[in-house]
Amino acid sequence: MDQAAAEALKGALAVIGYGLAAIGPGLGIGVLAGNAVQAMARQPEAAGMVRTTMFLGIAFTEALALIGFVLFFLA
Amino acid sequence: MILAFECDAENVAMCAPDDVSVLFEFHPIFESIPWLTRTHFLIVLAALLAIGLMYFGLRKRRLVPGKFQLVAESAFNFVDQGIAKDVIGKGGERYTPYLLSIFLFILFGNMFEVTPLVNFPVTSRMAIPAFLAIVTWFIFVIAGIAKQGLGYFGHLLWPPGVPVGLKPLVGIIEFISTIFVRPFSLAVRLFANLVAGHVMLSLLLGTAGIFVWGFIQGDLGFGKALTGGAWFILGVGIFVFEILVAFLQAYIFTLLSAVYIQTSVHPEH
Amino acid sequence: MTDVFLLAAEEAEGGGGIQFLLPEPAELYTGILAFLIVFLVMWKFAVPTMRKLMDERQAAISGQIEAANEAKAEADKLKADYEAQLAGAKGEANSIVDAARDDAETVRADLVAKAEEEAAKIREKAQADADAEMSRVLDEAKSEVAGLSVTIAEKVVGDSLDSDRQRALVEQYLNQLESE
Repeated sequence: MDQAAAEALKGALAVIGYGLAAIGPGLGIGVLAGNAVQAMARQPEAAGMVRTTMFLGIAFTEALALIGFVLFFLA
Repeated sequence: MILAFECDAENVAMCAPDDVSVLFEFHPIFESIPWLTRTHFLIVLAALLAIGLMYFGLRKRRLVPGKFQLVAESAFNFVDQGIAKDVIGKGGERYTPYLLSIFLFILFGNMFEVTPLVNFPVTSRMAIPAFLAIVTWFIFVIAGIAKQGLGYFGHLLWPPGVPVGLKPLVGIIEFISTIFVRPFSLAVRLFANLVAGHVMLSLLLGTAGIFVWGFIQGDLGFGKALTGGAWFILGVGIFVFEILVAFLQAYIFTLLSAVYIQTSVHPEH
Repeated sequence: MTDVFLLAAEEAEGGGGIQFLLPEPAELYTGILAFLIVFLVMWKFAVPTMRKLMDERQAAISGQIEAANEAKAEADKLKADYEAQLAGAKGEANSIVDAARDDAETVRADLVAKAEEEAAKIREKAQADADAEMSRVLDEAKSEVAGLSVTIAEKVVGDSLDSDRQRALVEQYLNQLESE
């Protein structure tokens, strides 16, 4: 197989892989942040706690996208 | 020389390097010292800016603050009140020096991305985020051991308040997430955000510069100049967005460090 | 062909990929050193100074509030003093006015009494004068009447009587009349 074509294919696959890896965390962070906003709007006095928990949750969810980012470079 | 790599401006819509690391690795300043590059200079500059803000803010300290003092004080209060005491709770002020250090160091490192003529965030080199994430890891693990003894790891592996059947599974997930994923995600989050920002900005603005300059020189057609203008407008939009990202990532790194410390210091929450 | 393949593989290995994700040792050392300096400055200088500054500011503000309260209390006390003094002065003025009014009253009464006395005196004197005048007029009239009576009697009787004796007679008669 042509070496350049193989490299290009590998790069394209890596990009597609990262795109797929970003779907789940994207949806997850959207849901998470939306619910956090709802919670803060309902109980503004608990906003500090909700915000901290939200960031913690985002950190967990985002980890998957970050692993995808790393794998994109590893590929 | 706007971009460090060759660009076939006639045939592509946007210049991109074959290997992205040419945007992040610089030639040595002195040929005799191969490791000393611009990056080292910028790392030290970020540290000096953080120190300088506090030094000049507190050199002539007065009860009615001057401009510098006001900036230094708001940075301090932001970290001390907003992050350390708010997130960690009781005893949080003990961690203020560390949190303030990482906040200012990362903030200035990030801000180089949107500083004209510098345009290179030192936090987009893995060395800085990785080191700071490892320091945070040590701090929260040591704080957990100091608070709960070796039971800290026991609580991670055998979490209380979970049905017995699920305990091994949850414990393993919890252990891996706390010990490995936390520092990893902390470092990679900062790194990835700044890398992405730097790549976007340098490619968009660099391509725009090459296309418009080529049009002025007469090498490129009018269509290329229009494309360059579009890239420039997009690049300016992203530039403004990156200012926000630079601040937000410094804040998130500091906040998550505080949250991790809090889970070690007050495990009941 | 094989050589080109190897070269390409090596380039891909060395340039991008995982190398990009790993920290470069030289940068790591610089970063550690720079961060340690920042941390030392924050730990030993910035944060303690900031805390001291905040404490000083708190102390200054509470001190100022205390001082303001003290000043207010003092002002209130002064005001009360002034008000008391003012009330005292008003009372004094009133008593002075009262005394002056009393004095004036006495003086007026004196004057009236004196004037009345004077008037009484004048009236008495006038009365006395009038009495004296009346008695003098009466005496004069008596003697006139006596003279006239004698003359008339002489005219009637015609020089028969000794003038002096007749006069004495008439006067005696008149005195008799008067005493009756």
